[in-house]
Amino acid sequence: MSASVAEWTRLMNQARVKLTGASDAAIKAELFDVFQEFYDHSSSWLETLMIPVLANQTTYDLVPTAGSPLRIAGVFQVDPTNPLTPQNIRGATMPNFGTLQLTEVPGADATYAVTVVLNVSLPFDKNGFPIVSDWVLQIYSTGILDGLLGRMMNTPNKSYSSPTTAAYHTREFQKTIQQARVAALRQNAFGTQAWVFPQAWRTSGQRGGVSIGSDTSFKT
Amino acid sequence: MATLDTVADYISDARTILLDVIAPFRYDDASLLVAFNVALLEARRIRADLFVYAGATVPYFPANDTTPVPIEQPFRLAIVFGTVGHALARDQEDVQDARATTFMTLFNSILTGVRMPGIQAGRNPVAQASAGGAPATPPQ
Repeated sequence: MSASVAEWTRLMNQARVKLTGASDAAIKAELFDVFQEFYDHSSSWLETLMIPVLANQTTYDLVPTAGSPLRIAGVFQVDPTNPLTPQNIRGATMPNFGTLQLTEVPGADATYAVTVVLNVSLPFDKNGFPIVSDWVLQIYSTGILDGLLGRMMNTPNKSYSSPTTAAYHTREFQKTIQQARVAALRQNAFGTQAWVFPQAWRTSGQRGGVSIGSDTSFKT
Repeated sequence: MATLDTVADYISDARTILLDVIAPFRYDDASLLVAFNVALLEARRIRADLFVYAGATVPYFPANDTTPVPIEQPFRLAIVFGTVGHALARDQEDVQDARATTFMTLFNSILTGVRMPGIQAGRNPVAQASAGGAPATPPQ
């Protein structure tokens, strides 16, 4: 599910006001590049795909509901019939975009949860907009507008060209990308840290080392 | 339904500006259609974004009918001025040359700029000469 018509309309209206003489077609075409840069650098659009893994098969197609797979964020073996079963980390790569390559040959049928980072892809929706995550314009509309204005205003010999203003908007867009990246790492939890010691390797006794895991609860 | 939606709208408005609304017309439909299609080609050269994302080819309109013209609304006036400018360019009178230049300038300004220059009417050099004035020079 992509952004709503109301959100697109609001973004377009703001762009039309600030970009005198720009056509709707040019704005929509530039939006694709803006979102492509945003998702690529922030890795904020995530989706977990449940892959039915077969014994002795190591290659699987990754088919998200929208967008195209950009990189793998995690691969876990799960038990869909019992959510209390601890997840086991599994190794995998994506040598070709959209194809999961397991590093170990599975010995039995299982279910793997593969978290992928997504990016926009063609085709556009029926209104000519790129298909994006449903939250991006709710949360980052100001930053997306900055990216759009920066790219459009950097075009030479147009009625809306303005290199100085383009530089300002581009900087603001980069800040938004960083915010989105950090927010994605922290899973949108305020006051927590992004990394914890891998729980599968922790120890509870003195022998073999002491656990230095950090909690992920809210700061008091 | 919006302003300047169809080919007939563009031809009709061009005739109004050309002061050619009473048959038999000075500029027949075939001439104005040529001017209209040439204006579209020139618009494609200046503003590719008006065409390439809607099919990548410049549409061609062979008849003065109600075929919709897929140009975004803020840029339709430019096509009218481009049509008028090209139609006037075939005339050999100094006044018409000045008007043709004016309308082509307006056409370019709308497509490329922000501020549209004013329309300066040409002056009849014969009438000016008989009144003792210097002939008008074409606007820059």
